[in-house]
Parts: sequence; structure tokens; C-alpha cells
Amino acid sequence: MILKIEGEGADLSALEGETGHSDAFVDRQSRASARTASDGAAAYPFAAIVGQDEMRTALLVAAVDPSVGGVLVLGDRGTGKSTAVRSLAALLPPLEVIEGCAYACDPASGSVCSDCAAHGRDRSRSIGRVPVPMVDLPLGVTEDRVLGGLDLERALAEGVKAFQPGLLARANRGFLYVDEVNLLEDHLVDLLIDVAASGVNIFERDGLSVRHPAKFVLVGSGNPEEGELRPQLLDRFGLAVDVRTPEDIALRVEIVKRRDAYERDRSAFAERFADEQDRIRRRIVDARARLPHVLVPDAVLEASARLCVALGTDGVRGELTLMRAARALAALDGCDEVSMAHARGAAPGALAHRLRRNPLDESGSGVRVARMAGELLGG
Amino acid sequence: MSEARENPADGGAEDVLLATALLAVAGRRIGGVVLGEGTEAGMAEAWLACLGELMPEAAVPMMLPHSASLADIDGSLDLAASLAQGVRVHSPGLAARAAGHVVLMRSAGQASPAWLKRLTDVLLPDEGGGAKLVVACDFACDGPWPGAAILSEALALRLDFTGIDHRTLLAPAGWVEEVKAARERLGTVRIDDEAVEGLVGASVALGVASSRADRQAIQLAKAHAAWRGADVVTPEDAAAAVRFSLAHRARRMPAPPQEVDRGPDDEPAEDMTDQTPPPADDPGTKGDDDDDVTGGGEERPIDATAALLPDSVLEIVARGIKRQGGAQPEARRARDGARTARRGRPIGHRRGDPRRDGALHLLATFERAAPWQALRRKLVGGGDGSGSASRRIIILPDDIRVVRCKIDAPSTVIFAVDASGSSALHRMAEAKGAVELLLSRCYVRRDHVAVVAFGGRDARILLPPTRALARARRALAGLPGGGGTPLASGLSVSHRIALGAQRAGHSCLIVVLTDGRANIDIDGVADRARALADAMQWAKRIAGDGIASVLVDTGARPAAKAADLARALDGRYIPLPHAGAHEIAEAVRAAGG
Repeated sequence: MILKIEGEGADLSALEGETGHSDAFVDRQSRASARTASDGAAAYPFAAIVGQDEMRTALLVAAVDPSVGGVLVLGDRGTGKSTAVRSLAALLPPLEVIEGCAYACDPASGSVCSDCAAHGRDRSRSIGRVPVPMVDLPLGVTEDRVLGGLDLERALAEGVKAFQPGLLARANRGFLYVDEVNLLEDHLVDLLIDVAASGVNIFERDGLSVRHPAKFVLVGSGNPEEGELRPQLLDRFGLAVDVRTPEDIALRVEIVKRRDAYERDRSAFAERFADEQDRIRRRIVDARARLPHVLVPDAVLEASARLCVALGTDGVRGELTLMRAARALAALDGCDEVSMAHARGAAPGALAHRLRRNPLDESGSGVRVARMAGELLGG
Repeated sequence: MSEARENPADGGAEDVLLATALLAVAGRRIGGVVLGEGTEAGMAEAWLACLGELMPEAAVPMMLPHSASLADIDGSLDLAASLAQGVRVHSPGLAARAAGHVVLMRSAGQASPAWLKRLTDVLLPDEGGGAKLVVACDFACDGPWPGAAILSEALALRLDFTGIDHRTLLAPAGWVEEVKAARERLGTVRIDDEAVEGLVGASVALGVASSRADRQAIQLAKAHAAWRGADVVTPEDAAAAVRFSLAHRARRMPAPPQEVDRGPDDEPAEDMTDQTPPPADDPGTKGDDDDDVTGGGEERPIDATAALLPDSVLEIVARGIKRQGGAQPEARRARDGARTARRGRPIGHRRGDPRRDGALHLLATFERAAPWQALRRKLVGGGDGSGSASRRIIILPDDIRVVRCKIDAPSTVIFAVDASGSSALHRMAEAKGAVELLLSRCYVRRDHVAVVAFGGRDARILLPPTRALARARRALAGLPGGGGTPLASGLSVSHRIALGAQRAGHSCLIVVLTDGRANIDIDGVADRARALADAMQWAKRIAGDGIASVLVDTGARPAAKAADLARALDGRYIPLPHAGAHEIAEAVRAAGG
């Protein structure tokens, strides 16, 4: 005899009640890292963010249509990148979930985890509401914390082979935020992007075979001064925006003042921006509902394709992202049809990081994209 | 200030003491302090004792062991205890234990950026709470490294102990009470909009990006006012805040005031301080400072605020920018290397502690434990074969195996570029061109690159190993030419970088671009014979340490001296009398670059 483990193969029924079992573990992981909208009053209001329009728009687009494939935010430390992501997650309306599901499965959706699928016919499972998850991926995190892994405690204490969901599971239907993504090891970035693109985490290790939904908006931030992201990875983020620290003193002062007001009295501050918060929330909800019905006229598609050809972007990813981002922008504007202006607005974020460039050329390619877009997507 | 450095009268110590008092007053509001240059043996202790006197919480700081892994920071599963008790036992992380304490990071200068980032995130969360104060010793850090930026973003103060006698670091009589009084007064200190605008303006003028720095500067100005016994922030307080908390974070020199474009948004900046700063190109600063400064910032709209910066600030800025853009070996990468070895492709297992050494290898652990089960059951006594106890596997800490990983060795290419007069005349442009071409190739392969330039009396690291290629290019563009050929220094500096990179598990290649006409010896003395001997000696050391090298002869015609040097280096010799940049790049690539 070597091992006495009751193998249960891919059967995830062992996971039932699992969340309660491993609460301590999950709580520890999430302490300080995964803040969710449950403290909605405490999170900094999205509406109170000063400036940074490009970043805010990109985040809104990703919130409306997660299939744009992640947002990369490049810029200095301390420019409010993580604040923006947190506050957006807190702004979004809570999710309906199948209660007790470790992956926050959507009761209205067909694609659920195997656990929920097994219970599919069983209508008795109640439906709960949880805040949109916002998971912070700490640097130096190990692969098994990201992917999940064998539940050690149960393996050792009970001899049961069970899967312990990782951060990807927690991020399902929400945001996964990686601060300083350029300091994260390349293989982890690869892994994150793969899962983000497929929406499924497939785990085949330690004698476990598990697949569970992991649909999340990947948001990475980084400071290019401190080591660049591999071009292959750069290209795989749907949208990329540069954030610059405002050089305008009045804006900077306003940032400081708002922060100060927020720290003094969070609920009063939240109250001050409540109307604006509601307006943005409604805008997102409306845009999501509208999105499937937004038409993209052939003229816009053709012009977009011409733009991509003119800029020399490789592959079709650029065109697809441009179309999706433009459609989300149209939906956010309450339009039923994508206009040239929407495509123009979406072009820099969707394309600038895909240009073949001289790695030593420091001039931003965003300007080039915007100029070309102005020419080719006019009218 | 500039006198204070030459003549270590107590201007410096007084400054440090004042900053310490302000730290004791403001506490968590300003994050903490980096103990920077000159923190030699005894200094940190003396300073901590001083802080402890002013701030009772700091008397017994919580030490953060530099061996702490990321798992230790967050807390982790206590495997031994878990196994013994059969339930999950969680050992609390350092972060949890540090709450409300003054935390001392002794070896922040050697820590990896990821580690520092995680620590500052948990110890100083933006929304408050966490540690009481963070004190980071950074004296080993005199080169640009990402960690320095992380620390300086989080901690408002940076102390410079250069030229200070640690015995003078004693809090003057009565300060204990004064600090106490100031702490009580701090809550009532007001700051008007004008002062806030002045501080934020200074921050913009100095190229400080972080909004947290703005907020900390405001808090520091308030603390200074409280310390003076006032309840409104005055220009004097603001100036102190700029000096202590913004100057060391500066990334560019403020524009000289005489170029101020008198626009409509002109601020009454003069009332902040009546000191006028010298022009940015102060003749007292060295020429290379200017290079660094112009390299760091582009043309900016000039801010009237620059005028409010006292000249001591400008000096700190110049030093700080030099520190960030300057040059030193990167031995600290060794730590990164040690860490990353825990990840990568699994290639087997070994004994170890999963908290420190990598992921638990469950199967191997069980295999180790399996043969002993019968015996252990007897020993434990619970093994009468009944109930679930018999089904439990008894595992001792000795059985525990962790996954061994291999990461593909990254590589570092070190360019040693001859920037002497003889080279500069002929081949400087071509050499620069070749290096740029090679850089793009390194970019594709994700190599680290370093650039060493030698010319005049000594060699300088224009760029420590980095993957930020844009910086490499900037470093090259600013490469000055002229003077003698201190070849030995160039080789010795390259050797030092290569050793550091090797320690971090990198494979190294040194590419020397020179005409081989050494005429300055290792000590900077013009002596042709000694210079050549020194160069040969360093070349042999490089070869002896197994560092690969290529020598590109940039002379007008192939020179025997250069060929000899290549032999001593045990590297390939590439004479390129009439080659252009492309040929050099091709040749180096063919040689394994």
C-alpha cells in the first residue's frame, strides 16, 4: 500500500459544502486583496475619479463587453489605476448566483460548472446575490493559488481527493486585477491571458481533472519604465491605454481634495456622488442590454479593415477588438448602430499596442493611430 | 547643504533630527522612511534609538526578516502542525502580525520588487490601517532598481546620513514633550488652498507622478506646522515638506525660473519662500548630472512653482535623479534569481519546506512516508488498527518533499563601449548604431542588457542590467566621447556586472567595442604600459570566471593589441576596419550574441 486516497476522479460533488470547509483559506487569500462591492459605500466612487478619461472609457467598454479581452493600463505608480478598477467593480450591480457554488455560477446561463450542471435539474438550489468579484492577483503568487489545486487538508486528513478552487475561480464573472503585470512572471501572464480568452480553467494536475468557468475581465497595470511586457503578451490584451499623471495643478489639487474628503467621511462622500454613480450604473446596464442588438454597418467594418491594413496590424485580433470596442461604445452612447465616430474613438485603445514598432522608438503609437483613424474613419 | 557635505558640521544631523521629529509627529500619515545613503554600521541603531525616544511605539520595532517569503508575508499553512493535528493549522502572516507596529525592513535594498510591492501593499494599504510606520534600510541601494521606486512611492521620507556622526543623533532635551504636543495639535492644523496648490505644483514641477506623494506632502507640511506650534500651514512648512518628502522623489529638475512664461495662471509663488533657486545647470553639479536630467524629462511647460524650491531641494533632486538614473551593479538580482527558482518547469523534487522552497510534491511525500507507516503507528500508539485513525497517514516533517523547478536561464548582454577620444573620432557613431541594432535583437529575445562606457579617467555604468530597452537607448544617446582610454576600468566594471548577473543565474556575454589602445590604468593614471597590463589582467579574470566575450576592434585598422586582448579574454576577435553598424551587429550575432 502506498496511498490511501479515495479517488473521485473528475467528480466534483466533493466540492459541495467545500466553500464552508475552506473558508479560512479563502479568507486569508482575500484579506486585503479581494475587495468586493459588499462595502459599496466604502469603495471610492467611480464617478469621483478625476480625469483619466481614456482609462475610464476602456474599463467601461470592458464592463459592457468582456469579450474585448482585457485592459492593459500603462503608467506611473500612484495614478489611481487600481482605485479605478476597484471602484468600477463596486459600481456594478450585484450578480445573481447559484448559492453555494464556488464559482458564482449564473443561474440564467447555460454554461455552469460541473457541480452546478450535476444539479441542473434540481431547482431547489436557491439563488443569491453577491457583489461583482474583484480579485487582486498579488505579485509572486504561486501557480496553485491562481489555478487552484489539490485540497491539502482534505487529502491529508480525510484521504479525499478534492479540488481547492483558486483565484481564477473567485474571479469568475468579475474582474481580475494584476498590478505591475510586467513584474509578474511571463508564464503566469500567459496562463492568465489563456484563461481570460477561453473563459474556462482546465486543471489537469495532481491526479485531478477539473474544468470550471472563469470568465473575467483581466485588467493589468504596469510601468513601462520598469521593464516592458513581451510584445506577444502586449498584443493579447484587448485594449491598452496609457495613463499620465495630470500635469495640471488644478486637477491634481482636486484629486487630493476628493481623496481627503473621501477619507474624512466615506458615506457623505458616497452620498455626494450617488446620483452620478447611479447614472453610470444605469448606462452600463442599459448598454449591456442593448449590446446584442447594436448593428455594425458594413461601411464601418470596411473602413476599420482599411485602417488595420494601413497601420499594418498583424492578424485579425485588432479588427475584432476594434469592432467590439466600437460596438460597446455605441451601446454606452445609447445608439443602435455603430458610427464612424465610435470606431474612431475605439481605435487608439484597440490598436495602438498592436503596431509593429521599433522597440527603441519612444514616441507613442497612439498618436499615429488617432491620426490615421481620423483620416480613414472620417465622416 | 552643499557645504554641509564637505564639512560635516551638524547641518546634516540637524536635518535628520528634524525629519525624525516630523516622522514621529505624522506617523502613518506619511507612510514611513527610507534610511538611505550613509546608513553604515551603528547608524541605523543610533537613529532608531532616537526615533524610539520620540515615538514610544518605535522603541521595539518589529523586524521583518529578509528571508521572509511571500507566503510568510500573507501567512501560510503550517504543514508540520497541520499534519500533527490532522486539521488545517494556519500560521498568521507577517502582515497580520505587523498591524499597528513600527516595522523595520533591514535589507530592503536587496529585496525583489515583487516582494517589496507586496509588502508595501499590505503594510501600507491606501485606505489606512496596516503598520504604524515602515522603516526601510536601503543603504545597499545606490543603483537604479525598481524596488527603489516602490519604496519611495510608499514612504514619504528619505534620510541621507552622509557625513553624519551617529553619536550626534540624539534627540535634544524637551523634544519628547514637544513631539507629544505636536501630535495632539496635528488634528487641528489647517492648510489653505494656496499652500495645497503650491505643494502640488512643486510635485508637478519635480515630475513626481504619484498622488499619494501629494497627500503625504500635505500631511508633512501640517506636521511641520504642528511641530512649530502653529495651527495654519505657512510657506515655511510647505518648503520643509517639499524638501523632505518631494525632493528625493523627483524625476526631473524643475525648470529654471527665468524662463517662466508669465502666463495668466501665474501663481504668487514667491510668498512660499524668498529663496530663489540657481539655474538648473548649476556649475557645481557634475556634467553627467545634466545628462541624466535631460534624459529623464522632456520639454515641459515651465512652472512658476519651480521658483519656490529652495536650493537645498535642487541639490537633493540632482542627487536623487542621479541615484535613479545613475549606475551601480545589480547584485540584488541574485534574490530574484533565488526566488524564481521556485517556479518554472517542474523537474523533480527535493526535501524542503513548502512555505519557503516551493510547492509541496504530494506524491513524493507519500512515497517517503509510506514504508514507515506500520512502524510509526506503533510508535504513535494509536495504531491498534481500529477506526479512522488507522487510515490516517502519519507524515513527519522529514518526509516532506517540494517540487524542484527549472527556469530557462535568462541572459544578460553587457556592452562595454570605448568612449575615449581616439574611438570617438573614428567609430563612435558606428559603435552606437551597432549597439542599438543589437539592443533590438536583445529585445526580441528578452535579454537583459547593460551598457558600460569607458573614457576619460574611468568607466561608468550607463545602464545597469535592464529589460527596459528605451532606457538603454537613452543611455546610449547621452554617451559622451573624449579623453583617455581606461580599458582596464571598463573591463573591471563589466566583470562586476557579469558576476552579479551570473549569481542571479543569468548567462552572460560581454561585448567590448574598443580600439584596444589603453592608456589609463585601473587607478585612473595615464601610463600606457601599466594601462595595457591592467587591461590584460582584467581580461584574464573575465576569462577565468568563465564569462563569454566578444571583442570588436573599432580601430581604423586591425591592431595587434586588440587581438591580444581578445585572446586574453578567451573571446572572439572581430576586426572591423571598415564595417558599419550592420556588420558589427551581424558579427556579434554570429559569435553567439
